[in-house]
Amino acid sequence: MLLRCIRAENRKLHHSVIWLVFLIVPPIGALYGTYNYIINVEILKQGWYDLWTQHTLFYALFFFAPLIAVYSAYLWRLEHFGHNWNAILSAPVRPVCLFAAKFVIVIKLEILTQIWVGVLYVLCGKLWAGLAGWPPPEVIFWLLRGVLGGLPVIALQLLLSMLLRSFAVPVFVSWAGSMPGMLLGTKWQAFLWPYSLMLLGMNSNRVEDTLMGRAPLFVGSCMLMTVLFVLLAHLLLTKRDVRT
Amino acid sequence: MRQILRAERGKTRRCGTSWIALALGLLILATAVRTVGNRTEELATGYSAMFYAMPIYNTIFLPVGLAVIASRIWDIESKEKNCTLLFTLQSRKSLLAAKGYLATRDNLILVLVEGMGVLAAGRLVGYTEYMDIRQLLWMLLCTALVNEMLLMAALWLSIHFENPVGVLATGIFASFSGTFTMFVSQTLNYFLPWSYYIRLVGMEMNWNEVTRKASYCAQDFQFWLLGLVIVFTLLLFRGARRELEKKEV
Repeated sequence: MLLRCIRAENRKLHHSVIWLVFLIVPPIGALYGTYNYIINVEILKQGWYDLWTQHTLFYALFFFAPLIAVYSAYLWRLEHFGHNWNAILSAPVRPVCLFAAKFVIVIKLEILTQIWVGVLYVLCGKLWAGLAGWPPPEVIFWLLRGVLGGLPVIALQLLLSMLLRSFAVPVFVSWAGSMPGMLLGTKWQAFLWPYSLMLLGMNSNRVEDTLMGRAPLFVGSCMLMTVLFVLLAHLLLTKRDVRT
Repeated sequence: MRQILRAERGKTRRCGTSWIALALGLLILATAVRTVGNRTEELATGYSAMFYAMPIYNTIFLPVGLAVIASRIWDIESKEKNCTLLFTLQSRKSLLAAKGYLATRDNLILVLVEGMGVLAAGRLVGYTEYMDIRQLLWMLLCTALVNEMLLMAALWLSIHFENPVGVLATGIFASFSGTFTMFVSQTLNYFLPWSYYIRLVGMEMNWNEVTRKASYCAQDFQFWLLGLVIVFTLLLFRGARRELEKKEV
C-alpha cells in the first residue's frame, strides 16, 4: 500500500517545474561561495575545508529550508485543489501512508540535492578555486549528516503544507524559521530548533567538527522531532473529518 | 470601483497577507536589532547601525516575502480557474487595479512596522545617538518604492505562471543573488534592481581593525536611482496589465 502511494507521489515529479528549482538554486550558492573563498584566500588557509564552509553556510542557513518547503508544498498542491482532499481521504489507503509516501519522496529530493551540492563543491574546487588534491572524506559524512539534519524540516514542512491550503505561506514560514536558526548557531538551543539541525549536520560554519561529543544529542533531536511531526500528521489525518 | 475593492478585501480576508507583511516587518526589525547589539559603544551608533543593517536584511528577506504576498493575492484567481467567470463580471483592468491596491496596502503595513520599529527600538534599547529623521524617512520611502517594484514584478509572474513555484523560485533567486552581490561588488548592485535597498539608503560602515569599532557614514541621497525605481515600477505594472489582458481563459 505504501509502495503504491510512493509510486503515485513519484509520478507527480515527472516533467515537473520542481526540477528547475532543484537545478538552479544550489549553483548560485556554490558560485558565490567559491568566489568568496577566492577573494579571501589570504585569510582562508585550510583549502578544501574553508571552501566547504563558504559553499554550505548560506545554503544551510537560508536556502535549504525554503527549498524543502517548495518540494513539500508542491507535493500537497494537487490535494488542495477542488475536492481532491475528500477523494484521497476516502481512498482505500491508510491516511498516514499518504503522508509517509510524500515524506519518502521529499527525502529522495533532499538526497539528490545533497549530491548536487557535493558535485558542485568538487567542480568549483577543482576547476575554479584550483585546489590541489581531492576533498577530505569527511565531506561525504557531512553531506549524509545533513540529510539526517534535514529530516525534521521535511516532516514539519509537509505537516504545514498539509494543514495550509496555501502554497506560499509554508515557504515563508521556512524562510522565517531559518533566521532563528542562524542566531542560535552552534549553541545548545540549536538542538531544539528544527531549522538549525541542518546547519549543525553539514558543519557549515566551522572547519572543526561542530558535533564533537554531541553526535548522540544531534541524532536524538533529529529522530525525536521527525517522529513527533509525523505522529502529529497521523493524528490530524485520522481525526479530521473529510471536508465536503 | 468601491464594490470591486470590497470584493477583493473579502476574498483576501482569510489569506492573511497583511499578517504576512506584519510578520515580515517584525522579523527584519528583530534581526536588525539583534545584530546591532546593546553594548555602550554600540548604543552610541545605534540608529546609524540600524540604517545600515535594515537594508541588508530587506535584501535578504523581502524578495521572497513579497513573492509570497503577491502569490497569495493572486492565488485565489488561479485556483479552480476563477478567471473564466471573473472576466465576465468585471474588466481585467479593474481586477489588476484592485490587486495592486491590496499589494500596496500590505507594503505600507510593512514599511510602517519598520519605521515604528526603529523608533521603538531606539527608545527601548536606549540608543544614545541623535536620530536623523531625514535619514529615517528616506529609508522608509526607498523601502516602500523598491517593495512596490518587487510586488509588481511578483504580481506579473503570478499572472504569467499557473503554478506558484515560478514566482517563489524567482523570489528565492532574487534574495540569493541580491545577498551575494552585497559582498561581491558595489557596481554589480546597480544591475540588480531587487538589491536597490542598500544602494538607495547608502549607509556605509567602516570597520577599524585596531580599535575594533565600526563607524558609519551616510551617503548623499540618490534621487536618480529612486526615479529609476519608479520607472521600473510603472513598467512592471504595465507589463502585468498586458499579461492579464492577453490571458487566455
